[in-house]
Amino acid sequence: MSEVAIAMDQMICRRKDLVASQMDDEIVMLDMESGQYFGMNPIASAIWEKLEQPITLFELCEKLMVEFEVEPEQCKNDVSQFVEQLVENKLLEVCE
Amino acid sequence: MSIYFYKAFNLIIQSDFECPTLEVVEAQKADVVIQKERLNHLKNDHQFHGVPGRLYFHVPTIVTMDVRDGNTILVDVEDTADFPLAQAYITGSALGIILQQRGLLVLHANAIAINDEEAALFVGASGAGKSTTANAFMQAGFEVLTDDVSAIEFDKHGNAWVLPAYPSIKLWQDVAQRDYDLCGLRPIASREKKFYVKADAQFCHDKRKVQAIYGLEVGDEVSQEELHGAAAFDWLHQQIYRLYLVQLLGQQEQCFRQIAKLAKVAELYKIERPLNHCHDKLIKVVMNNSKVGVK
Repeated sequence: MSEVAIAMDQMICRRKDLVASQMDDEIVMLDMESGQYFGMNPIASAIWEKLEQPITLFELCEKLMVEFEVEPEQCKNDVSQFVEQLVENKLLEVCE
Repeated sequence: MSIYFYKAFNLIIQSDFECPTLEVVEAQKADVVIQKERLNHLKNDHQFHGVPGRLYFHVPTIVTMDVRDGNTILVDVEDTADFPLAQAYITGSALGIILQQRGLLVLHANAIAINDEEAALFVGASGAGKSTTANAFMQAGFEVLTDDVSAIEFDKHGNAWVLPAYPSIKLWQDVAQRDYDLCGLRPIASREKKFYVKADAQFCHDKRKVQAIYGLEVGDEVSQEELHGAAAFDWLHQQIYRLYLVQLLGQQEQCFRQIAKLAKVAELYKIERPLNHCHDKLIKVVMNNSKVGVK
């Protein structure tokens, strides 16, 4: 389980110094600071695309439920877990 | 003291040292200068040291080198060094660093011209049979662009081009013995069981578009799997020639973008085959892929 917990109304945004590239239906990105790079599967990539502008977890789930057939509770659990992972890996950050 | 002129990776090289594996050319204005120099101040430890534009390293009892700005290689060979081995460091490590400094994408791969326009690249762990495969293609009449290091440049249309390196390939003694007369061959280092085979007659002098990259693996039969998406990127990233050089030179971002570009224009395959036979089947698979895949 992840160390950070993010509230549903917390704004989150992408870290600035990331370089990303679309590879087929997946996204790979490089963290310039650590030199690490990450690959995202198609679903993760679809979520990532919705994070272009700062957004709250709540809004993010709303958008994803339009696109994917998923129950609200399920969506909230999965997405918050995923977002928390990204925050831990410093791909996303919480913003004011 | 003699001065030698060579061509490798489309660069004219002026050298204080003889480099027998490189292609000899007439004296002319050089892109890269290899210079004899005392480098005692760099002999402190055995690490690679790098800053953007400069990288130096010391190999105890053999050679010390200071590679600068993509155009200068300062070399200090130890008096007691095995000279062929020192030469191998010059044409291997040092030239690899020069290519990286010049902004090329450098992969640990060999390249075979598969038609008038394109090349296939082969990568694989040590012992997976890269050079043996290159030799099999040569025996079948194909031309080779490079045996060990593939330098790739991109044009403004996003095409990836692999540059001709130099006309020799390295082979293990058993393969070399089977296909060549060992008396005429130079060992890589004095005690090595690996030999340089001259490939002048089957050297491709022109750059070629990268059509496909094959990861060679050993298996019972010939079979292939095409790679896509993040997995393709990850796999290609692992084929970079000495990734720590990219990091030391601070070129990670450029390298990341180049890998992404290359993965878009080249087909990527893992290919399994028995190590020492079925070369004809492998060649057939490679030729078929070059005909169907229009990206």
